[in-house]
Amino acid sequence: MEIELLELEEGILEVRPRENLTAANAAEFKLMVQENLQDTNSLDCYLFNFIDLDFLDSSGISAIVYLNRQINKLNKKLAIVYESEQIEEVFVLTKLNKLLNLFRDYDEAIEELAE
Amino acid sequence: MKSIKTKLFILFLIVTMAALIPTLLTIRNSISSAWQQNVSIELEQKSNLIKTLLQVERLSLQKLVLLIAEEPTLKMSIQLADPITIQDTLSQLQSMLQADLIMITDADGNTTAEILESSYKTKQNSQASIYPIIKNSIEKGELGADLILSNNTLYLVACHSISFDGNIGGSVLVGKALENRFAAFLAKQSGSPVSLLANNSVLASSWENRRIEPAKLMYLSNEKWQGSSFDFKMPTMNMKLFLQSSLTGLEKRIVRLEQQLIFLGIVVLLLAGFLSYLFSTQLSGPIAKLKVAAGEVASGNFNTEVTIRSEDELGELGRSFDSMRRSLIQQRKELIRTESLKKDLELAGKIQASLLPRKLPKINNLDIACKLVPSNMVGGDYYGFLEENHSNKFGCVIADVAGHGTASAILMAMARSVIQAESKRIKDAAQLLQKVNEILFPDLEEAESFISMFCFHYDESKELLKFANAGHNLPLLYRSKNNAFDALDADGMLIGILEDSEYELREVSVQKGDFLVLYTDGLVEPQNIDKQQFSLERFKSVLGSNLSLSAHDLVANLYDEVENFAGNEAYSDDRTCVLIRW
Repeated sequence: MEIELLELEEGILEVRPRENLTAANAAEFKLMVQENLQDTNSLDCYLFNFIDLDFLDSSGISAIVYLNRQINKLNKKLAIVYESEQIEEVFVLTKLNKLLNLFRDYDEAIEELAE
Repeated sequence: MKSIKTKLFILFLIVTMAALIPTLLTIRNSISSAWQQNVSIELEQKSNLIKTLLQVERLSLQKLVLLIAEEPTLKMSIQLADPITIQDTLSQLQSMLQADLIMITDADGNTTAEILESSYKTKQNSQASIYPIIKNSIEKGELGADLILSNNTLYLVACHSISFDGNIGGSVLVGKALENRFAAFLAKQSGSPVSLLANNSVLASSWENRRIEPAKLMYLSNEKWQGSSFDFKMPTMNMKLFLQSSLTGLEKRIVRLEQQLIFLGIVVLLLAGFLSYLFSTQLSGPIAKLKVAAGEVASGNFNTEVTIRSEDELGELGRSFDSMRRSLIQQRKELIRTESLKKDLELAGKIQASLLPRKLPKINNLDIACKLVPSNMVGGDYYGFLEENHSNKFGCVIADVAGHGTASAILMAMARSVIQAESKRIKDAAQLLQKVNEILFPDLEEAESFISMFCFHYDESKELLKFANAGHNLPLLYRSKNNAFDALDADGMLIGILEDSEYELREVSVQKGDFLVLYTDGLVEPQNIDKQQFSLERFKSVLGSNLSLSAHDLVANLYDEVENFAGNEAYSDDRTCVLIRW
């Protein structure tokens, strides 16, 4: 699975998977972010950029929920940006839209994290 | 079938013989060639001896002719030119000198008297000057020596002029006949048969009357001879010396050499055979060990250890084989463990299936169908009916544990126990979900998982459905009146995300002709090879286009459509459907 990691000037680590998060790759995504979180030099803000994604299945949701818990435990911030309607539906359906920092606009997400 | 050991042994022997035979032949040919060359050298040395003897003979003749030329009696008789006196003088000289040829000429080179092989004759006016040696001695007064051929006899001659008062009055020539007798003498001195040739004819030979033709090799008297010709040059005539050497001794030596070489060859071959045997044994031993071990492995016995203590490729092969054997032992253990796990999973699958309702609620005028297909032997989906005291009431729950497989199945079993236990006490769907979340939250948090769940209670007398949703796929209620689907949504977080989640209770009335479909994401998310999802729209379309079917057939048709669409991908997640038709 191709996952791009970018350290932004605002002190944000952008994690950008290039494929839909499903049972086939959710574990890999989870592991990559988890390893970064364990790094003592890890940044305080994380942005999951799902612009390239069309869809998340329950494994993808599970990975996001887990990572959200870990980030919160470390008093760090997470924002998720996406464009897909289907992803929107999943977040709404599972009511995770009430739990997660979700954005449809990339700049807004950066702004929120940079505060 | 010959063993590798035998093949190697034969191969080594063939290679040894292939190297040995040409080597022995080369040795034999080199030595015999050297010996034959020695024979040639020996013949040449003998020819030199003979040439020396001939030179000695020439010098003797020259001395003799000098003496004769100064003989007063001869001089006087020549001066007198009286043939009778000359003949007498010659006769006296002949008896004294024992020469084979004595010839007297006058100043013009005419032969005045000649004694040939002990018989003399007077040759008046005979032109002896045809011999250049005589002409030369008369004209220049020199002492000469040469070869001449007379009456088919070869003579070695010496000639000198006879002078009277400073004037040359004639010449005298003395010759030695080079006949068979002389050839025999030379043969005796040199130790080899000798033949003398001139003008390509054999004129004398130690073989006496036997006809000898010069040839390099010949068979005479049952012996093989090697011959060589050597030139003996005199001023006007050349003579060839043909010497022979018997090869009988040489051939005997060659035969002995061949016998020795054959003996040596046999010894080398035996030694090579012994070494080949040792080498092939050393080489084939590990292969034999591997063969035995491979046979044992093939028959299922992996305990035969292979130990090859060499650092070459065979040693490496042995170590690789042993490593493979240990790996096979490990794999067999893994296989047994996997088989055991598989059996456990099969059992778990059966147990899980037994957790599903064994019978459907019997409510008048309701057609209910349920189906759960796990992606593996066990799954994380669940559906169940909640017991009610009243016969025209029933409850239902559908749940999907995040992920699928064994962990999900265990969590599902836990959830099912909690639901079944709490549903006896709590008759409100929203409160039931809240309680379930409260109880399961610690375990789900620990397991890093969550559950989506939908729950409803139905009261037939009121035709009312009260439901609550914990982040589950929204069930679809088909309204026959509108010929449309309504999604039953109610506010509520997934089970296991927040410790204190609260759930909204909503209600909806139903009527005859309506049907409600509860499902898990495994029925809408499967993708086809073009990565297109089956989707909720297609899900609705399949249901909507088969309205006349029974609940069971509708569900069966739905599963068929999903499988036709996604193929094997349909089995990537658990699929559950509960369909209730009024």
